[in-house]
Amino acid sequence: MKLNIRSLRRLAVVSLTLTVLSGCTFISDPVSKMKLPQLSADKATLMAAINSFNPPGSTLIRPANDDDSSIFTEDLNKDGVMETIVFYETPDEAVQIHGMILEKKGDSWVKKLVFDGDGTVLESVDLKDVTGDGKLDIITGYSRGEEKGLVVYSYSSGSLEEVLTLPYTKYIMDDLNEDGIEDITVVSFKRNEFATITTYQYNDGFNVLDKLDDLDPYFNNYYNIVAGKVAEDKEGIVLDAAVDSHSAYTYMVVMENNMLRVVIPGDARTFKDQRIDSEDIDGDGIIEIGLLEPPKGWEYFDPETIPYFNSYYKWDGKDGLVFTSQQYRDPADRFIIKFSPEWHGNLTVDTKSVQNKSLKFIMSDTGETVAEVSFFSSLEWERVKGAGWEMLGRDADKIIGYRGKLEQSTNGGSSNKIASPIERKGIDE
Amino acid sequence: MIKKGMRRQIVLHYILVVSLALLLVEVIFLLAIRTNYYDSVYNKITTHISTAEYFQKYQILGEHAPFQLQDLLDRFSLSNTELEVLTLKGDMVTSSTGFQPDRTITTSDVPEAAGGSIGRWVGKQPGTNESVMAVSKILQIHGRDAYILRYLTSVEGINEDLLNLTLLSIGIGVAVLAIVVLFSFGLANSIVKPLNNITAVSAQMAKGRFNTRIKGNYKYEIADLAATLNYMAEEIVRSNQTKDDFISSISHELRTPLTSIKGWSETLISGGYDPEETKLGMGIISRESDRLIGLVEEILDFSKLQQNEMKLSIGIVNVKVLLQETILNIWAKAEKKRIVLLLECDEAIYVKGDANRLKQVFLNLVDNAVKFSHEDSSIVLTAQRFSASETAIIVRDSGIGISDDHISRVRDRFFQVDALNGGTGLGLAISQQLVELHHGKIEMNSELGKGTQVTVILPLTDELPSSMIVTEGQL
Repeated sequence: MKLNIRSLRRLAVVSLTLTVLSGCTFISDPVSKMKLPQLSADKATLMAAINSFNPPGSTLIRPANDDDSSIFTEDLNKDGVMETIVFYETPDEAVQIHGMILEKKGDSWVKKLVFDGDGTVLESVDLKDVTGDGKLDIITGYSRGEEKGLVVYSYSSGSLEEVLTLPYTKYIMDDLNEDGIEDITVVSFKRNEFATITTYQYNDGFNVLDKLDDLDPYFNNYYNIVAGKVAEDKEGIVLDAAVDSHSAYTYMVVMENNMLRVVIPGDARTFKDQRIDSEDIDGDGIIEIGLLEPPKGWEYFDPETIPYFNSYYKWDGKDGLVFTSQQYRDPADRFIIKFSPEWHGNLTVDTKSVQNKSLKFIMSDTGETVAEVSFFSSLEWERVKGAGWEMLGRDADKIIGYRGKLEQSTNGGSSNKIASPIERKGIDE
Repeated sequence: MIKKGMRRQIVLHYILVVSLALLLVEVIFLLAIRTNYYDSVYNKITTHISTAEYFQKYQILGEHAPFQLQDLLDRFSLSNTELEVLTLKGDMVTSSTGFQPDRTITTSDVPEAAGGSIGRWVGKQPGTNESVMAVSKILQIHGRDAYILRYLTSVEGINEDLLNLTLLSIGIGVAVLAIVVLFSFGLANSIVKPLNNITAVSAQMAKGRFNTRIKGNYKYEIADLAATLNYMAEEIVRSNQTKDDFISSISHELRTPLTSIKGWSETLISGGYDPEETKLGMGIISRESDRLIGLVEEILDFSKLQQNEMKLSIGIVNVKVLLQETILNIWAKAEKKRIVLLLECDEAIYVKGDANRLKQVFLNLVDNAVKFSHEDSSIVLTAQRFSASETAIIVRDSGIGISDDHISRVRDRFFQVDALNGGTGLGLAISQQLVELHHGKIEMNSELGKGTQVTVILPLTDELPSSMIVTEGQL
């Protein structure tokens, strides 16, 4: 028995020594062992190729209009072989922005050419066929300070050709004249000097299709421009112009017989005291113009405290506007309350409501409460949670609760955050 | 392989126990390390998220500021991780790799994150088959759930470390096991060698060489075993000695009367027929024959007892009467040494037993007392109730006494303190066995030079039938 204990003790000492002597070097800081995950094989080859062709010290950049990626892989010249276009920045050189086109050869990528971008910021990159030859063109916007320049490149047989170079404020690619070929519409604006809209159509080189140059230039800027369907079978452009830091009005321009025509002028009809982005609010594919409507009964209140409704109208095809839907938008963009269109004109806000505390939406004829928004502390929230209240959102230490006749999506406001590029493109100040 | 036996048994047991313990410890150790490693990475990422979120809160609050994914990536990106921005459904919006978003993430961390907690997933990255950890958390913008941020980091390095650790701990385990095997051989030898030695010596003993002894300095149970075997050998030698002594003394005992008988019978054959002389001779022959018969009967009794053939004729015995008879039988012998026999007896002590055999016991005890008493001394017989169910009959003398060495052996067969004293050395052994047949026991206390006290304890009987009257009637 004594031998047993002694041998066990020896054994313990030996094993402890072994662990201590060898273990220290093996137990390392796991955080230092973290590694960037590998890219899948094809991406890894491309990335390696890009890195090997790029000059040292350069970084890949993403265009501001569509910044979800910096590497565009498409079959540009439709020859069945994929091309990749990347833009990179060399901040210390005279020419700061460069583009590079690589072509896939077997399993590897070869550098085809490098071109210079005229500017300091890559505003936009679009790959679209605007020349009608079935091949994708590279439409890029560069900017240097306030000045922006649009360049359309055509890539074929291993070389790049500049097809169009223009200064611009906004540009829109759409088929306004509905001839089946994409056209480019450029909006140029300089405050108090000029505001023009020009549509270019490709026909053996870009030609001006029509130009509007009699627009009123006396406003601040275009804060939102969208192009798309403005009526059931009509493409058009909607321009939201900011007059000062708050108020704004909206133009609508369509093309008829290859002529641009202003169908809704920016006048008192579309004037609003707060900026509202024109967009397709009800999801029917047609763009609506947003207007601000004060609730009934609030006429004598301080305009700062009035809970305005956002009412959306669409073009009636002639020169009028038709109501489509109504919303209440939180000024801090924390929530949106949608209302049934039937309530329009009858819906108002109880004058006892206070923004950031509680809002009660009532029918002005019956006094019936159709929707209610209230801000709760988390303690209060626990108490009212069961009583018909639903969480609409939260803000710092407050929980925003809603109860009412219509279901509201709790993340309704975020839908425009993951918007299509064409919508986001407009937000440019 | 080691041949079958205790050594192998011990070594195998050791290996088994130690491997089990090692396995358990190593598994626990490795699990703990693995959890710790993964948790460290997880904590690194979550800490980064909460720090970035804190800044995010105070930076994106500008009301209509253009929202840029590039800013989001810059703000949240963490070195050595790939950051993916997903919609709440898991569709990739952008990723820090710069490639166009082309996937929908379906791993379990995304729904977990969408549910509001921090999602964590460890698994193989599709496409590269690399082990990665994904940590996802929802990003709120303006108080609303906007995106899911998903961090991806490769855990290959960590897995490699874990593998190294596993190999190391297995190595240590093997080393420990090897040491244990070595030690267990030592341990097994420390048990098996003495056993082999003891076996060899006891084989010698079995062959009759009782003078061999187990030598060596053993410990604990093995020492006990060795000592017991040695003691056994000693006892065998001694009992052989006792038997030899018995044979020589019994021969002597038998020869003495035979010599007298032979002498007198030759005298009577050859001599003139002096009636006086003839009478004396015949008397001596007759007395010596009685003595021979007594001796032979004693040996026969003993032999019967040994073979469990002693038949008892059981009856109810009055102890007082029994002791009185005993005293009467011994009286003459005691008178020669002027020894006084005293009887102190409680009334009505009855035992169940064979009266003649019990009398034989007490005759033997009192006879011994007389034999070893000094002249002019006294012997006291006491009978009293010892407990509710037992009686104690005590024979006390003030004779030469028995030394402590001998007292444990006086009851042995053939044992005599002094072989020249005559007798077979069977008397006390027979008495002992007779008392045991009566479910009693004999206790002996003695002090050398002061005297001996023998106590016979017998069970009492409650039956007092007519036999009592019969016994009294016989008196």
